[in-house]
Amino acid sequence: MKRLRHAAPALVLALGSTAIAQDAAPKIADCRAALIAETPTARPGTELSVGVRLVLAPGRHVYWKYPGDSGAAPVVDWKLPEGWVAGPIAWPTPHRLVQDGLVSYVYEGEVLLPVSLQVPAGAAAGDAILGATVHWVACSDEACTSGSDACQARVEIREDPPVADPAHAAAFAAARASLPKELPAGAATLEEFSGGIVLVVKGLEGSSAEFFPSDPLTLDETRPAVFDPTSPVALRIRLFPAPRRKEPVTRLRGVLVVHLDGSTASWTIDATTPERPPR
Amino acid sequence: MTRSLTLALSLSAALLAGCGSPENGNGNTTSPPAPQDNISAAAAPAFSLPDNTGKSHALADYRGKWVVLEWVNHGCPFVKKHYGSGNMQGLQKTYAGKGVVWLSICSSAPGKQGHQEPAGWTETLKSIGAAPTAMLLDVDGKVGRLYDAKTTPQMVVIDPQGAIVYGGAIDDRPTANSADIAGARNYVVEVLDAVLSGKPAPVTESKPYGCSVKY
Repeated sequence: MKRLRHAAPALVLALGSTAIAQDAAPKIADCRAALIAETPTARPGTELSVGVRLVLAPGRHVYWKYPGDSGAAPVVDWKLPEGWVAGPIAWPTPHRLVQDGLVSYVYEGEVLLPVSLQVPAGAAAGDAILGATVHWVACSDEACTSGSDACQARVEIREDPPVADPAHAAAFAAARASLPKELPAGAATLEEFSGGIVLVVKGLEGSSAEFFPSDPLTLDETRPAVFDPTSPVALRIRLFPAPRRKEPVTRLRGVLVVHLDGSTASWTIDATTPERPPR
Repeated sequence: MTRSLTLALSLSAALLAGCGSPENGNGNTTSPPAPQDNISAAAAPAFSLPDNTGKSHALADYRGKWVVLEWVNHGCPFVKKHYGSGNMQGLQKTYAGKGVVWLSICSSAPGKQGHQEPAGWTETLKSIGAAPTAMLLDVDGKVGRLYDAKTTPQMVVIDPQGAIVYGGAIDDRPTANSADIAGARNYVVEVLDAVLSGKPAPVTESKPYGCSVKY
């Protein structure tokens, strides 16, 4: 146990708070996971919207699908009844956090990660238990911890049209509102300039913008995107290649966040240079 | 041991979250960082640091030998992945047997995760069976910043002439889950096995993963 006292004081504290010090105030977990269903019932042969809700202790954050310089995104292992199929996590737009010169893409406070579950056509009427083991890494400026929470949600399988659970409606609405939207095909392209690349997006308006790449070693993420206000017909965002990168950036994937008059919208980007399609 | 600890934390979290009993799963859905072979060999910056016994080690002392630098923070889940499983200690012992100098470096600031006084370090190294050539204490973080160390773990391989031949992650599975060690492509093993048999490093840079260095 000696090693543990040095290696993992938070873990020992957590153990103590539940196993021994029942009368003391429990330690607030760095991250708490829960599984919630948008509707308390589900129809066979349709999709059921669920979400993994993560609640962070103050000062802690969890990571986006691409975490940035450090950290790792939460991972969900599904334990679903036979025939059910879980779709991918729809990642809400994170925010960029710079600590000690390191760039991270994170969620703080509380976040809902929506997932669509396919309910099999042959699902029998009655209760279905949905299981999700959520593996998370939560960090602050001072420390990182990790954990695995095994969560469950219960839904009733019935033919009636599902009605949203009012207790969770606001959380799902907020998560959907922060999901990146899809652009029309061909709306986003890349141009090169001497110091980097320009992401050009037709049909969008904005007064400032941020870009969160989803591939490592593409951009110098310490340099914020530079918004070029001169074009009236397209957004032009200057970005800078990763240090020591020799190959030009010919394809850029990630999320573009556009600010205009106090509102924010985000867009999924997969842009290439017209002359040089991806190999 | 690691499993029981994970269990303890998870239970506590689960009680608060209303979730059930935890299980150790293995669901790596993160895409691995692609290695990028376009860095030219750079001179390893000179440094000198005290170890946990107070002895000073300069990089120049090891000219003529292959040197591995390994950034550590034993509270970090990504470091625990590689020490709880014995992976890192195994590499230290294997390559010590091949004449490689292995310098573990902790750049955690006092009060932050991973920082320990020298006596605590001696106890920790013994209890986890770590076998680096030396455990170097970079309390003010200067050497970490000199090497642009971003994460724990983060690995650097230096040739006998003092040039960096590899910098980045230990392997291609950027998770905190020890189940991901089996089947991972271990860049440090690939690089050391190649260079020790006279071949060029098959990869020179990757994106490091782990906890941010707690400067």
